[in-house]
Parts: sequence; structure tokens; C-alpha cells
Amino acid sequence: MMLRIFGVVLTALLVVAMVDSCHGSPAYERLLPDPARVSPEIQTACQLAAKMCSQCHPIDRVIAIDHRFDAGQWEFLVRRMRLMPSSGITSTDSGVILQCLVNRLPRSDAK
Amino acid sequence: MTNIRISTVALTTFVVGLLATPALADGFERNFVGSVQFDYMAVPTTSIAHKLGFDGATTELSLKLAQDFGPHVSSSVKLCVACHGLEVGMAFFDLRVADELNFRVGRFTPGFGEFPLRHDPANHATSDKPLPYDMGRMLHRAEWNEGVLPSPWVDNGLEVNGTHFFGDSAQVDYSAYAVSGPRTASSDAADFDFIQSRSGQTYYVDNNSRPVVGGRFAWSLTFDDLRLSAGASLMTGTYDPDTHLKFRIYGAHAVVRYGNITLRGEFVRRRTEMALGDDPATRFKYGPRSDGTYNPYFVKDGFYTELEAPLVWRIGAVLRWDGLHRVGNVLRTGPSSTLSENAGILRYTAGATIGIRGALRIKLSGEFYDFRDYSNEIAVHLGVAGPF
Repeated sequence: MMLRIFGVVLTALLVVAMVDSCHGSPAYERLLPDPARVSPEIQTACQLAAKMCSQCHPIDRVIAIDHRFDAGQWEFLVRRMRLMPSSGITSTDSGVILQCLVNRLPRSDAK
Repeated sequence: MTNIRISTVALTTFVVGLLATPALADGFERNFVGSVQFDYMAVPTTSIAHKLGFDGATTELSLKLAQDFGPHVSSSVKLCVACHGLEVGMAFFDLRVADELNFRVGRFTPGFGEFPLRHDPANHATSDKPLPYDMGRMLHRAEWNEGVLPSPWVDNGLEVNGTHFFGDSAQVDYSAYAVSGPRTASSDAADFDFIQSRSGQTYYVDNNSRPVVGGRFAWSLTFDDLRLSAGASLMTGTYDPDTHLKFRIYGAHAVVRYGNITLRGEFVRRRTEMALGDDPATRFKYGPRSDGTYNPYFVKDGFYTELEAPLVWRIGAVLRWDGLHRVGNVLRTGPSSTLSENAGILRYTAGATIGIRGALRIKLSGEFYDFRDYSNEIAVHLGVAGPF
């Protein structure tokens, strides 16, 4: 009985989530709340960053530290993340992700 | 009291040291990150839930410092404060020759399975861990003696690991390690004694001069919005001081991610040898096999499947189905004596995460425990978690 209820809830959740996923990525929206303020290149970079980072942890882990990380610290962190098992982050990806993390906010907002 | 004082001094020194040290003073990068989770677990189906497990409030804090010493050397130190008090969850050097070859030496979590990579409370959606990796939050934890391999399993040793990409879509990872391993105080044991592994009274050292060895292998494939990964893990060795009692843990995991939806599954099995003693008939609760001999092994399996998906605004949902299964004899005395020879738990969890302010999230979940040997129970978790 419990398994049946669980199955129904699971199916409903899958349907809602699939419908929702058609409307964009919440992780991307969190990472870049106002895309109009940055270039299309940074927007694309942040789409990749949102996709890759949120595989293993909520994107909030990135947002929580961005006010105190400079470019060098981001580079160090992204390299460490790239080398995590099953990260899926290639060397090329890590450069693109870094571009997002360093440039996603205008400098006056970044600090 | 002395322990609390030492812990407080160590923690304060760690934090003050971090804050007082400029990131680039010596030309090397240094990152400091952390997370906190406060969780309250209530068990409305029983009057005094503490008899079943650790209900009420728990707080888990982790503080991690990573230091870069150039392209080939880095170090990580992580302090954790939770139910056990202050613990060192990481203290290791990475000596990296290439992406494909890294030597990790020190105190670390050896590569095993998928969940341990996300064990930090700020990295997973539920307040507690899946049953195979449970560390102190499941109901009837004393009777079950935790999950199969409590996470994070932190140990001293050496690990060789690496990763390699084949083009942009395929990746393989491996790790192989030798660590101190699980322990017990005497060779008259019938299971691991997890307190031994985190007790300063018995020292944080190997108890039998024989490292346990293990490894992990995983591959991943990416196709646009679809990502697949799967892997297998193994750990084997002896756990008693006289190296008579063998164990083997092995498992497999798979993760499918499509867009924002993630489906994970993992299976872990541990085969553990028990000391039969001089008179198994008086030592064990259940009788011998048909041939008159006592089986010296018990087998403990654990699994979980978990679906995680964002819903609307900053609300995400998680559904988890997990369980434990234990086949084998139990001692006549002690908490495990109430288990049957074929014991089982199935647990059904529905939960949500709700982003509140900044990176803080509320974690809310309800769990239905379906026990084979005990009455069924419901547990409710309400927590707040966030990284910093």
C-alpha cells in the first residue's frame, strides 16, 4: 500500500518537474537573476556553470561565497571541482565556468 | 569539561587563524568554506523516541580550509562539530602528477559509492542520510548498529586517484586506497564497533597493523541535457586486533540527470565475519545450520533510490525509498539481540527544500519506517541548512 502511494507521488512529482524543466533552470536564475546586465557570452557561461555546479550541490553553495572570492580563489576552487569524481567538467568547461563566476556581476555588485 | 574546553580552543584558533590570514599573502590561493545544519527530528508515533534513536535537535557544522601550493600540491583541512563533538573530517595533502594520477595522504574519506561525495548536509536535500550510509539518525540505530558504512567514513591512509576525459562527453574516475579500517576492541566481536573509530581513548590509529584496502571506479557520459554515471566500489580487510575477522563491503551506484531532475540509486552490501567463541550455542540467539555448524558471517545490504527535482520558485522536492536487510545470527545479549535472523527495514521519505534568505534553506521531510522486527514508525524532520 505504502509503495503504491509512493509510486503515485513519484509519478506526480516527475510530471510536475518535467513540465517545470521546460521553463528554464532555477539554478541558472539563482546564479544570474538579471541576465540583461551581462553579455550573452556570460549568460551562456552561467548556464553551463548552473548545470554543472548543481549536479552535486545546490547552486547556493556558489552564491554563499561569491562576495568574498576573487578570481584566483575561483580558479583554484573550479579546478578542485573539475577533479571531483564524475564532475563532468572538462578543462574547456572549467574556463567557461570561471568566466561566469568572475564576471557574472558588475564589479560594484560583486564585492 | 576538559574536552569541551580543548574543542573550543581548537575551533576558535582555527577560525581566527583563517580570518587573520590574507588569502594571497604568500602567493598561494586559500579557500575557506563551511556549512551548518540545524535539524529537529520528531517521532510522533512513540512517546519517548530517544529509546529508538537520536530525536530532538542536532546541529552539524563543518569548516573547511583548502590551500593551494602551486599546480601539483594542495592541502585540505576540515573540522566538523556534530553529535560526536569536534572531529577532523579531513587533513590531507594532494600530490598531483596529472589529472589521471593523484596521491592523497593523510586523513580523508576514501572513495566509496556516490552519496559520500555529497555527505555534507548543505549538499543534499534531506536532513538525514540514506540508510546504507546512516550515521546515528535512523530509528533503532543501536539494534542495527548504524547503516552498512556510516558516512562520512573518515580514516587515515593513502589513496591514489584520478580522472580522465574522453572527449567532451565521457569521463572515467578511479581511486585505490589503503586505510586503517573499521575496528573493534577485541577479537571476540560480532560486528564493527564504530565508537572505536572516533574515540581518542583508543587513539586514532590502526588497531591491527593491517590496512584495509579498497577502490572505486566510475564512468560518466553526457549528452546535452542528459547525464549518466555509474560505478562500483569495494573495501575489504580485517577489523579485529588479531586479524581473524574478515569483512568485505561492495556496492554499485547509478545517477541519471535530465535537465534539472536527478535520479540516484545505490546498493551496498557488507559481509562481516563474527567470532563464534568456544560455545556458539550459548553465545548466539539462533541455532546452527542443518549441518550442525554455525554460520560465522552475517550479510547486511542497503539500498536507496532518490528523486530530486526543483518545483517552483525556490522550492525543491525530494522522494527517497531506502532500506536495510540483514541476514545472519545475532548475539544473545546486547541491542542486536532483538533482531531476527532475517531482519529488514523499508523507509519511505517525502521532503521539500525551501530557499528562504540568501543561501539558507529549510529542509522539511516525513519518513515512514516499515520495520520487519519492530512496530512501524513515522519520523518528521524540520531543519535549516546553509553554506557560507
